[in-house]
Amino acid sequence: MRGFTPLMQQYQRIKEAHPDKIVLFRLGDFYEMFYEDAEIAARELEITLTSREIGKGRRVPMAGIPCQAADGYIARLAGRGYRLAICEQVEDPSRARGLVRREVVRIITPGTVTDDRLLQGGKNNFLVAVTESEGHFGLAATDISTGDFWTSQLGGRGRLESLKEELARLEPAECLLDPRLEGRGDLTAYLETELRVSLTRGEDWIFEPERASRLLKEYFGVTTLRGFGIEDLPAAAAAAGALLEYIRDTQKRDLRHLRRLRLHQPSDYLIVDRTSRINLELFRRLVDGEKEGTLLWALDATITALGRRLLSRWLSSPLLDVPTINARLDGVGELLQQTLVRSSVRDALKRVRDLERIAGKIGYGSANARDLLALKESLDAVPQVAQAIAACRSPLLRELAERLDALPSVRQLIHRAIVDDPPATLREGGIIRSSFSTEVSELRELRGRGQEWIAAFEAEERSRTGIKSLKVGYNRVLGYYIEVTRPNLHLVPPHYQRKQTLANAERFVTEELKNWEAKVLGAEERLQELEYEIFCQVREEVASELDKLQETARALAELDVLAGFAELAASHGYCRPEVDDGPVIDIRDGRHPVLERLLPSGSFVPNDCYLDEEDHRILLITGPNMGGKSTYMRQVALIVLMAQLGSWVPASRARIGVVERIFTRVGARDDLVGGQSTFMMEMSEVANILHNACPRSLVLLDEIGRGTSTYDGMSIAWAVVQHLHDRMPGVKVMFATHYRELTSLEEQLKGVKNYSVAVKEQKGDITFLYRVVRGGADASYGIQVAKLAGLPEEVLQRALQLLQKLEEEARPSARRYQAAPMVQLRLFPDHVHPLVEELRKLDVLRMTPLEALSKLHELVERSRKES
Amino acid sequence: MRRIKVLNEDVVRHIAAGEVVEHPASVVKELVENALDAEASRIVVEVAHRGSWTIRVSDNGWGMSEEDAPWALERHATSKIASLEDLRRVRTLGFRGEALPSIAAVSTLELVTRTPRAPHGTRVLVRGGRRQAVEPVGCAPGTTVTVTDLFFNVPVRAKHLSGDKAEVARITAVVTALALANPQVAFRLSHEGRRLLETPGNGELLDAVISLYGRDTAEQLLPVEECDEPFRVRGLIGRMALARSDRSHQYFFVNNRPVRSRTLRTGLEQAYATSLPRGKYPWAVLFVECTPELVDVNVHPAKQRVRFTAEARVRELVRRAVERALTGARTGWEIPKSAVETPGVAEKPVPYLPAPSVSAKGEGAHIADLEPLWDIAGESDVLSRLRPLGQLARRYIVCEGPDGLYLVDQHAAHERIHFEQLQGDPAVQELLMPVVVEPGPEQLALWESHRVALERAGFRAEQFGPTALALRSVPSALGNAEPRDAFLQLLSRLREAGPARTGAGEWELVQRALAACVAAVKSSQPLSMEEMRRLISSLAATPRPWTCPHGRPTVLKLPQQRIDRYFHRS
Repeated sequence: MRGFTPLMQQYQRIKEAHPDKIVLFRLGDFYEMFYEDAEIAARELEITLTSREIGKGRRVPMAGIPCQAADGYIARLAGRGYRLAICEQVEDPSRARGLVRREVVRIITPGTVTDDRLLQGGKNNFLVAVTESEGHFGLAATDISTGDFWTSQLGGRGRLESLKEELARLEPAECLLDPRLEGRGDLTAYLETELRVSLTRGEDWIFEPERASRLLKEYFGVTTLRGFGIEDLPAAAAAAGALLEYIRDTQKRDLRHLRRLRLHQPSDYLIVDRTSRINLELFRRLVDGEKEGTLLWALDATITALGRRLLSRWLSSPLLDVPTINARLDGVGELLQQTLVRSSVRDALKRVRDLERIAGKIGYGSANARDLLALKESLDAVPQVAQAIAACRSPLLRELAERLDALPSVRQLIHRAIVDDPPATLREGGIIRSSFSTEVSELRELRGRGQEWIAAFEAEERSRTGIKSLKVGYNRVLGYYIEVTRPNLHLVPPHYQRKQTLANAERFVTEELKNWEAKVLGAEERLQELEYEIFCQVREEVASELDKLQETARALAELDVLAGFAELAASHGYCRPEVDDGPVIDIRDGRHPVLERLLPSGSFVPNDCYLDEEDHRILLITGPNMGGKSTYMRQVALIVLMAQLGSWVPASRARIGVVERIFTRVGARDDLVGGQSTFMMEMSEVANILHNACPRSLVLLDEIGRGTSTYDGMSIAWAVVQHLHDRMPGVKVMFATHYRELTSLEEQLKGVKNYSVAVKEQKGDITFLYRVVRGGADASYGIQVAKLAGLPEEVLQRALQLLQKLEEEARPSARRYQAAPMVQLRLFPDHVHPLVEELRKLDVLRMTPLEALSKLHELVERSRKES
Repeated sequence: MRRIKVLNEDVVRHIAAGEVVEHPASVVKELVENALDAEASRIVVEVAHRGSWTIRVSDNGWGMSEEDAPWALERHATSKIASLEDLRRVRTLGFRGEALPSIAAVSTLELVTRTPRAPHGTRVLVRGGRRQAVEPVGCAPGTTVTVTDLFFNVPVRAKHLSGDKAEVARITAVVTALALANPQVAFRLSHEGRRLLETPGNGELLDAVISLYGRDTAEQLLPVEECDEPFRVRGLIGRMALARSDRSHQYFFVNNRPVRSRTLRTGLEQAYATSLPRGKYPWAVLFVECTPELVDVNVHPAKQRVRFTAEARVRELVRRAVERALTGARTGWEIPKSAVETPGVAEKPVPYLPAPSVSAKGEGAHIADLEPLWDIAGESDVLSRLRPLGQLARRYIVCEGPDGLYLVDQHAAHERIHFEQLQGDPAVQELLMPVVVEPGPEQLALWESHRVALERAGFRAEQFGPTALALRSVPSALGNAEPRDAFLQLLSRLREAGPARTGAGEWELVQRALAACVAAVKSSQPLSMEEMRRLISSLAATPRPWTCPHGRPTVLKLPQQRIDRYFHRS
């Protein structure tokens, strides 16, 4: 670094502290970037790449953006995934001695963006932190644009899986990872490749539980974390504390809208694993990842961005607690009945802007005058909402009514202080009403008078000097000046000081003029400063009510979602589900909430479904492909989900015994590209299900055993059903299969019942009836379906011939399956390992410790040699 | 067991009245009535017109069995009556057995229907009266009838159809009536994918009205209920403010069937007699109920006219009921909040308002607008014959015209006059002393981007301080107006008019804004008779005197006959 200019040395020091970020280095009116940063910036922002001398005659690449217009550029870079460090001059350059001091004042990473341009209205932008402590994982999550802040602790055997599931559920933009977790299983690969999360490796000391707890207590001003429920959860506290530390470090300020920390227990919610979330198309379409045609799309009748985000969060965490679910259902029911109330509420909500994000900006200190006005307009709508639901009787609606606070003092303040149409900038004045501050109105008057004097001055000088064409003008360089054209120069009085010569005129100033100019410009400058100060005060006052503001915002969001549910229930004829902790799922005339809307009215065929924990635990569904098996199974899962969200459901009646986990094995996106064959994927997923399904789970299996030969596949399917039946009580299963042989399981296993999708055959043609009926399918109709698909006639004929022949031959084997008793088969021939034999022979009670130890040593040696 | 049986000759002769399917609306009516007979709780109507009309009505009612379905399309076969006795006792809406086959005779009709317990449904396809297919099909319980190629084989009838809008309006009226009569059914009507109306179907008439007409209308309604055994009347009537100049908002139902009845109408209007001027008719949705023997529904093929055995009694009942409801409320004119307009300087440019449609003959769109007392004037050469009588509120010039009373909006007139005058480059008046203006950062930017056009219009300004401008000249047309305010106003209007355009569009924008400003200056001044005359003749001299440059009317007219009518002179 020697030989570099002091400026460059300063830059280098800062850059070394932030090697992974683009450093925006403040120089004059620009933010400059050097070296590689400059090259990236030039490329991404399409600005000129120049160079700068850094000493010793060396030049380095440089690129810059003007400070005034920096926001847009910064947003672009952040949007492309780059991390940025904003380095400002932290002392007044005019007063500095030598090099002006510079510091990084802000760091921008994917999880810490607050710029509206980078945020999507309907989605949260999550930043998470992951750590491990004493055998438990800690996972904390926050959206700094809204102030949401949660933490969880995951323990137990399957905790790595649970952690992955939670991460998938949150879809964070950035993850702060405890460096000690670097090699943990495939966690980093999972985060980076599969979830595409931007990884930040943190320092290990920020994850230290003691330190983290202390930080949290200090930040929230409490002596114990018991209030947050995490006093005895060190990993959760560690993750939350680390996250807080990171935020402070990158934002260089406190986020006042981050006011509470909540404990999120995944076990309090219905867990839909990530495969199922994808297979059931809850948030994204399978085909193209779009939102239309997903359950979220079907349930979204919200009006505000607040409501949309809340709905998304509710959908990713459906409830398990029956009273809470019923509270929501009741609220929706009342809003459904009271059409007038609902329409008033929805009307009022149209005037509500994104209160949460505005509150975030206020807490962050970046809200401008327009944001405050938007806040006021939104709050203006609150009384209408409150009035509409004032007479409601359901407890949830009454509670929401209580939580609404129209904050009249805040509204008044903003109304009195801020003009009706303020600019977006804060330091150029034009924000504060003259009536609000006498100083402001005086300064404006002063400025006005000064301007008037100068304007009058022109007329005066004209008459005094006799120069009829004399003009008083203004520009940035000279300020106010007097302009006299060449022919009149001889009339110029002596006290005029010449300032500029032009082709046809000359410009002068006088003492008097300059004095008045100072007054005007002085007033202007002071005015701008003052307005900014006053604005900040107003913003400060508003900020003091952040608590109530956020509470109101949350209540509005909930109302929005509930009113939306009511609207949907009215439009589509939903019914109120009876939700309980019981074992039964009984749906009458159930419909698929998404499909019934996409198909022409009257086309979707409703179907019943009955599941319990005794004789109807496993529904085996057979029938031809395209007959509606998958739709049927999916609609049951979606109806359960909707019920546990607190929404009414598309059925004529529904009784839903709460489900804790939903698993699906649907095989629609087998990972051929990733190197796993269809069959392998299938087996992994089935294995996952068999290991993890617990009582009160709902399992959907669609065509197990497809990726391998018929006998293998069928046998595996058979065995899986048997296992689910015998060894996994309380698990409800819907199993669609093309192996008709499996229908004989009904006779053998008490809990298995056969259903099939009805088909009508007429003269070799089939019509799909889309009704699910009791009893196994008569035939596969594979050939008829192929005919529908357009397979050539000769191919079909030949297939028919072959089928008949095979059916004759195969018939005995179906009976064979029926007759085969449940025998404990071993995969490999009867063979006892020699070591096992040896072990069996040992008489431990008669061995001395030394003998035992040496025998053990021997056996261990041998076992090692064997592998 | 087949429930649909062919009617015997006798009955057929008695009721056959040459059922004719005239419009898409009649198709909709028949199909919806069938759905109602099937006790559906949800009825979806979709219509579209691409070359020919396509109508689809889907319901979740009882449906038809596999046996019955094909017979639904046979003439004179119905499950609803079997003998003349039944005819007298009829309660269901569709009894002639004529509708479906009549429709099928002039279209391609696909019937898909299924009873609740049946394993599958049945699909019947008929084209031009000829059966094309009968087959099993998977479908939801209920019935869906899809009519396409309406009138394909009777092109004359197709030609006689009114335009799209009128037909859709008729269909809307039909569905509205049926929706009102059946608040327990959720209706949905869409036209080419766009939702026209939707009712909740929760059994509350008021909720149905709210979803059809909006909260504002609903707030002006009064409930009606009265009984005179065995007749009963109930429903909702509107306050005076909802009154219209036609009867398009009167819906009468007898035993839930939409009807037209002079008797009922008279009873209703008599109750309002003293409160409503001639030519204004009240808003009403009234239901009359009685046992079926007391009313004859068979009078007219379209089944709309009805006859009571005791006409006078029914009329009296209605009149009494409505009167009672009205006296319970405050009578007199009420001005609904939504209809209050503040005329004068409008804030935003408004697109040209078409004159109220002359065709409101009982078949307009169902959304209510208050019909204006005044007409927007537009006949040529009336202007030169206007004689000013005086000024109203310093805003309007009251005139006598050849056939009635006229009001001229000073502001709008000035705008038009000056807009035309500004077509060339307006005259400019230099200011003796520059006027300093602080427009604020945004207006400043606006000035910069429109600087050239503004100069051309007469406003020459230059920078005079970091945030200030010095105005050096103004358009002469502004007269004695305060230059600073006028300039700021102009900038204000420019901003509202939308994003900056360049070239010709920009100049026109500036012109219009300027004209508005000039007009604003001039319009709130008191005028002498001479000035009024001059203003009117200047207006008459412009090429398009009837609107201001933004499209708002300049002159309103109240025809003499209407005045006479209001004073109850004929």
